[in-house]
Amino acid sequence: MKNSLGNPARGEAFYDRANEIKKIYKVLDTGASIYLAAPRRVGKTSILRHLEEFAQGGYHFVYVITESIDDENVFFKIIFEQLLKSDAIKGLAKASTHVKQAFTSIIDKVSSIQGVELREGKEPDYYELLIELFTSITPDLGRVVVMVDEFPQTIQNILDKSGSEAAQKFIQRNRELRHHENVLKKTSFIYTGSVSLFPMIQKVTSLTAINDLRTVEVSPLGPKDAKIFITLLMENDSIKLSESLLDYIIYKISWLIPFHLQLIQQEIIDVHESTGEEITQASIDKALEQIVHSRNKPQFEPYFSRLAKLFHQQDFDFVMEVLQYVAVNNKIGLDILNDKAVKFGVADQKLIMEILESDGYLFISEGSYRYTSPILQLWCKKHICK
Amino acid sequence: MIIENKIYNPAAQPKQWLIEHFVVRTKVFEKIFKDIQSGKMKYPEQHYLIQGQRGMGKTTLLLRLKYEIENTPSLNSWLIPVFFNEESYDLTTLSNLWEKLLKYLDDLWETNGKYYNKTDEFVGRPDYEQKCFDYLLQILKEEKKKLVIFFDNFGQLFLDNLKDKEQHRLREILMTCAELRFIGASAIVLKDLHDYSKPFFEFFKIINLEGLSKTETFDLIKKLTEKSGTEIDLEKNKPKIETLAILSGGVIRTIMLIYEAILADQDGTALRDLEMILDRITPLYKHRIEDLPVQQRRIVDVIAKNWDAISAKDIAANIREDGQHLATKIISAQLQQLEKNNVIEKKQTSTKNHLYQLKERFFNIWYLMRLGDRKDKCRVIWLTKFLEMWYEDEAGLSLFVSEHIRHLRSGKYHSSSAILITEALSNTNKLDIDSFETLVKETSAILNDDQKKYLPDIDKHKLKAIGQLLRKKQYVKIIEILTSLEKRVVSFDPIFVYCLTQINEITKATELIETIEPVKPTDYLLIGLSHSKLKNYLKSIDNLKNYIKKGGTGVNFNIGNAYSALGDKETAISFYDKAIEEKDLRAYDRKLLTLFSLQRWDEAEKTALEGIQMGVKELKKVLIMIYLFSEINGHRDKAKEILDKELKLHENDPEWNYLMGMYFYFEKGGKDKSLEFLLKAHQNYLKDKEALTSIYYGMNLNLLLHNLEDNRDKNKMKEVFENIEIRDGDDVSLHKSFLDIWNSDYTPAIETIKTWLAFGKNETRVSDELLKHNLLLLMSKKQFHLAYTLFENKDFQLKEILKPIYYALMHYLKDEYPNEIVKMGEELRQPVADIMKRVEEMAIEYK
Repeated sequence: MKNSLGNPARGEAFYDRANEIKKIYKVLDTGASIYLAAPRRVGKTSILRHLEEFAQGGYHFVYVITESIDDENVFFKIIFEQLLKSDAIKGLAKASTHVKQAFTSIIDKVSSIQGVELREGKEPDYYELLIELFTSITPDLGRVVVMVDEFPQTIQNILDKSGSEAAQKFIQRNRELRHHENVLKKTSFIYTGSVSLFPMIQKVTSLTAINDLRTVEVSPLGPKDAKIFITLLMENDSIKLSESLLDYIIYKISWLIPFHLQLIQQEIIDVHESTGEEITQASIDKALEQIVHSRNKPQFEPYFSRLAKLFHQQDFDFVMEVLQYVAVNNKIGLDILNDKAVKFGVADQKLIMEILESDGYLFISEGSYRYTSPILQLWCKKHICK
Repeated sequence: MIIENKIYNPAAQPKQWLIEHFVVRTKVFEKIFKDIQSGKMKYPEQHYLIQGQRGMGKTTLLLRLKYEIENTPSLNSWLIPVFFNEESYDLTTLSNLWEKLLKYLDDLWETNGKYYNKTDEFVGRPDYEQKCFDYLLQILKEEKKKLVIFFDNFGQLFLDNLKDKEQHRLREILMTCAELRFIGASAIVLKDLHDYSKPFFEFFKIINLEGLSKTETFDLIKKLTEKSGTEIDLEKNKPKIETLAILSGGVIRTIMLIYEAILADQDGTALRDLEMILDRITPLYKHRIEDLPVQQRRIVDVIAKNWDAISAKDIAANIREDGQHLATKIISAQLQQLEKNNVIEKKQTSTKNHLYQLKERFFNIWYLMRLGDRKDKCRVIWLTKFLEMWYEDEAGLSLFVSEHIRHLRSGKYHSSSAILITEALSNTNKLDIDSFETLVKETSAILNDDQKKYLPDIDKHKLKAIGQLLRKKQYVKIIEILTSLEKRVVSFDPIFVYCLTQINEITKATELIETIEPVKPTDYLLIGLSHSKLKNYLKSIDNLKNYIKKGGTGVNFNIGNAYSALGDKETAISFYDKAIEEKDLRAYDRKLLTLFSLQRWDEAEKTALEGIQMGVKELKKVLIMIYLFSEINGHRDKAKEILDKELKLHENDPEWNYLMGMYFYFEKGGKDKSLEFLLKAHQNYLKDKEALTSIYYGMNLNLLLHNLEDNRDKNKMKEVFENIEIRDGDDVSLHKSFLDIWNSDYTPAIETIKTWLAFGKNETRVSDELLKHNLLLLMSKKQFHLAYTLFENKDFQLKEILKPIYYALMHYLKDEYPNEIVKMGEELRQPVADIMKRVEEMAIEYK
């Protein structure tokens, strides 16, 4: 298996996340829409692309990434266009003459509108067109699932560009779309993104705006899967690691997200190739050291820079101090945590800690918070701590 | 110059030439190429960003990859490599990029501009970029082609200029588009690395091109040699090549330039070109310095000028901003940045205080040359450093010198370069004096009279070192220098023997002195003086007389001394008279002493009076001594008369008070009175700073304190001090602190010393001796940390002034400060050992 570090794992590079996929289908089977929650780099996008490519019978997935979009109509336009381009819709059209005719008529409509109205600087209302498109699909052909990647970022973009009201309307319109009678029965949405959705929604409106979404969490790999995963990656470099070395890696990485496993695999190979020596515990240790080399900055920096978007002012200062404190001292007790919250004048310490926990930074055990990932801790210690 | 163009502009190199000369970075090339070859681009593939300093081989690597794709049939059928060079200044937006790629395809497939012209249709649309991009993908899909885009200077030209929205858009594209693949190169600029929080960076695999290792440098040179057909004995030159790796920081471009100009150079004019090379590198380095923020530039300046590794604290001490020293914290933060950007290198120490030096030593040399203070006593320090590094040890330097001399003899050597080299080598202590002397002679031979005056004077050069040591009476050090020479330098034997006699190495000196054939007049002088010390007074007289015959002067006094020692006091006196005739006024004193010992009081009195008349006013005071010691009736009265008279005139004159103290000292029951005058003298000395330099001040102190110290009479000393008002900052306070240390009363002692230091920054050397005395006693009492607090205080600058003591202290504290002793220069080894020996002695003496 090729190490697809940095890119969403596609095709053969995708490690079967059977559990997560099962969880997703289970929710989709109820007809609900999903918020796919997971810390960054856990493999959300890879899962979405896998769903799209290898859909179970009766499902048609369409992947849309809306990271750069800062306008509501353009958002619906992208979904609309992507739907028309998608294999899913093409398949539906093939399966039903009725659907095909309906699609053709919608496309014609768009072209004529564009031809006439563009000159006046006006785009068609793609929300309406989207409703029309969904209306033309009959439920017997299966369920269409629109997967919107980087949805929270889109909210942020709209917020930045057009203000809170526009962002609120955007969230509301998405809710309306999901609940539209011609959409609800045949279509589900999966939203995800590397920025947490809930705090983003809370910035703009209340969480009730998305209370119809069912949260599915993507968990790290279990030790068994992690070992198989590393073994598969190593095969690409024609290397086989002993069981004890695999155990050692698992023990050291501890937080077994594919991304970190890919990183360590890459560095182990690097150590191996540069020294020409057999892979041992010592070379794994060296690889671990190398992971936090500044050349991996692009991989780690976002863990911390995203916090600036998530938290503001004193909350952000508090978070950074806590993360640095834990990096240096391995843990932070609740007393000290409280003291720091007082120091920074943090209002909702509990919420902040929940976010840090759900986003995979820290976890609590025996009255102290610790780093979920020793690698992240090491990075923070080396590059963030003063 | 042709090669130089190639070195600076790899894209201008013919394809085949570049492929053939691509000899390093092969691993990273293979790794990326393997990835390109195995990726079918069904899904988005791994993008790369190759980073490294200027000159590290980024562009060459990109081109090599491009050429390999072009040459690989399994790839070139579907994969089109596009290369954007580092001057693609018009590529600053995503739509620019798509336009440019469409134009590229137009050219490639000779479409007569069809593709690019299509974009006219999209002009004015809000989704122009998207439309262009979609169109590009459409073409690629239709033609069943994919693109790999090699983009030089990708960071600065392109990525850094993308607007927020474009950044997100680029991320989307990198994440979803399987038609394009980016392999960019980015110079690490000194300000900062990229802002990695930008969303797209995580899709790039960063490959850092580090400097070449010694082995890689060797491989590079080896391959270059093979290709060029030059014959270089690589094995023989291996150490030099390794030095090259260090000097250049492994920067390929620098290595190649030096290789071209020095190693491959067979006619010995290489060093003449060094300045030229440095000039050529100037744009590279200038850029590097100019890219730095002001504060970092100043820090680099301090580090560069220091040459050796330096701590953040020491850097801070050297930088002032608006009259304030920069906080070490700020310096440390900047150092971290500089280290990340590969400008400097941290030398780990076991403490928090790491040392820093410029990573690329050649850059440091360049810096010293271009930006060093020309007023420095050593204007060619850069060349010195270069030669020292290049030739590593003495043997290497000597070899270089003999080679250099060969070239000088060829008669083709550039005279100004010859002077430059000689001047540079006069600054190193790594070249033996013999070689240096030969070098100067040979260089002198090719110069005209006008040029010769620029040459360092060999004798002066040697005397500069030895003469200075001689003045400081550092005889051991001189002996060390002279014995460390590979070959005995006969001309230095007289000094050698003189030093031996001064440290009472009688046997050795006796042995040696007989073998010396004096040549220069000064040889007679030194031999004469040495014989005197060896108690061969006749030979001493003989040599000194010869010295006079050769035109020497000023030794009648010494001859007089020799006769005096032989017991021939009459002759002695006659030579003192000759000396006096020569206006050698020292002779009065000695003549007086001789007359003193002969108890020829009348004559002594006469001589003293004559001397006084001659202007040796001090003799008036000697006269008192004569009167006090002559025991001639009436003399004490004469003394008393003069003393009374003088004291009436100069009641507070410390010296007259001192002598009066002495008068009473000899007076039966006059001790108290004596002390009274001595104290008065003392207090008056304290009031009159100028008087502190008088030798009588020392005598007074001797009487008051040193004798007490020597007698280990703590109590009496204590009494003296109890009756003395010690003013802050006065030297006498150091006697007090000395007593305090002796009494294990350390806290007030340290306070006193600190106060003295705060006052006494400009005090004389004498004062420094007192301080040393204190420090040594502190160390002998094992108060190392207390002593360290004094050195630690940067206001005092003791580290600089009292280097040997500092390193002796560091020797005791080496467990705590293991990195300090490492910094000690070789020249300090002996002085430090001497100090430690004295410390051990004092531990017993002042229990």
